[in-house]
Amino acid sequence: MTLLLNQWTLNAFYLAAGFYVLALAALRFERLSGLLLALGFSANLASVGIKLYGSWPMQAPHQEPFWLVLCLAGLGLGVLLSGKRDLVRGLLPVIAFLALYTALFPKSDYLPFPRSRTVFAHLMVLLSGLGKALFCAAGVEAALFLRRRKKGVRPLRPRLFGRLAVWGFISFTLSLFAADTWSYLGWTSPVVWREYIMTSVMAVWFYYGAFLHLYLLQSWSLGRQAWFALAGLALLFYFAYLPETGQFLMPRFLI
Amino acid sequence: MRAAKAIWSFLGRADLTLYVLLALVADLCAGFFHFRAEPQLFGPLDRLMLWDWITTYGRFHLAETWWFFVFMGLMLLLVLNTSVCTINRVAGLIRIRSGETGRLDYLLRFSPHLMHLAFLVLLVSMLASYVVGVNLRNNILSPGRTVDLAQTGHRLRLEKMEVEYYQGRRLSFFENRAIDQDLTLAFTDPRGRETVRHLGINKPVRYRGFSVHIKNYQPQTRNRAGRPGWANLIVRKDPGVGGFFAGVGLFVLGLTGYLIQTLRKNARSGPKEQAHGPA
Repeated sequence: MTLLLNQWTLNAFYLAAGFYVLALAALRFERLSGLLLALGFSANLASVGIKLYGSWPMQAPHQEPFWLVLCLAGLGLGVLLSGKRDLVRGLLPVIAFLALYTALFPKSDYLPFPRSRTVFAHLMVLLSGLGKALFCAAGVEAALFLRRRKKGVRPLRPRLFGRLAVWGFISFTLSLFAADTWSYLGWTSPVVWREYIMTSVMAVWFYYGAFLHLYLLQSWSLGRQAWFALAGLALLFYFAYLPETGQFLMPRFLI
Repeated sequence: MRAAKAIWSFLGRADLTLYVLLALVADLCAGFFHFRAEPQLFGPLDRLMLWDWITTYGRFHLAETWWFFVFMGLMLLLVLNTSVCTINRVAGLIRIRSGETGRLDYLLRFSPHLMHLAFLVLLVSMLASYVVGVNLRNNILSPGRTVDLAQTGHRLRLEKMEVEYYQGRRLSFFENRAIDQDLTLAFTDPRGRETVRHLGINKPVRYRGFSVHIKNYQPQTRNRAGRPGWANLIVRKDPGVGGFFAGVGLFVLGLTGYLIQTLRKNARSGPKEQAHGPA
């Protein structure tokens, strides 16, 4: 049953990744692209739902990449509905790339364990995925801002990338508090020196903490702030996303 | 006096915050590689006090642990910078009083400083956890056995163990495996008065400043249920943990205040922005 559920989780995610790639390929046809994005989001939701069903009331480790792509796609749909089409066009390559990478390098075969039977474990994954998705969206919006400025066009939404990063910081901070609480309940201390990822999580928090100060104090120009938000994407990808992924796994339907 | 003023002014600079935060990012990225390469050097921080770790693992493996010392130095600088900035700005806010805005708007302007204060409380509490306190690991007890609580005269006895096994087919890998524990613990004070508490996974027990947590247990599967059971308990006296969670609460309060402040600002500036064009 468990192996079967694991395979269904992956199959649903392969389907989601396929839809995201098709949505990217169909960018010129806005309605079709939006529909494919919605289908990808639904398959992605089914994938994390099946995984949760196979773990509940516990949480399986290393699920965050699946949640991150889900949150990004959800953001993409929200942005599409609000009419910011250029931002969706910017987000789609990121969604498709992360979905493909997660599908091919999953760390999905770890079993849940009794210590993950707490609401804080679930909150941590959800809020961290959402926070990182908002940071990604801030980076993409910052890139759009810089491109428009380079072309000499007046930016449409000069403060949006900052707002996205601030909301990301809030969600990410709450995820850290959920992690601290879980860590205390399960391992006696809010900080446990087991996983090297804790250093990169702190690095990401300090980085966006620095951005928050820039945003609030406005001591840097908007252009420099945008470069800062854009550079955050590299930090996020290498230090916060890659460690949660695994080794190359050839999809079963291709074997 | 002039030197003290210069130092105070330097520590209160907002751009110092930015440089320290970026230095912390760089240092932690370096730490990421060292931690990944040598996790066994940092794991002992869970069971040793900070000074014991520094004088053993830390000092003798400087090539791998240098970033941790740099981290502590930068955190100290950040604490000083945050403290001075907060004092300066809060003093300024108190001086100007409410001005033209309402009382709520005035109070909400303290929100970022509440977050700064919470950050300081969090860091000082963390330091307290690593510098003072008791961390007794590997207290292995079978039912009926007793252990002394850090030579305080208080004693802890494992009365009873009840294992909750997973029953169902959905989680096939957990079939007949223990999913939770209900350990009945009896604490006896020096006067012989007894207090009974129930300990479980993710449900630590608190008693007279101590907290007791499960580290490991047997049986973990139903087919070993006939054999004698035991529980490996961690007994901690962590003077920082209460402050830590108080800091978390304060931070969330400050964050909420900041959000309300932002939403109120947006509500006021919204119509103006719309008049100029889409946001």
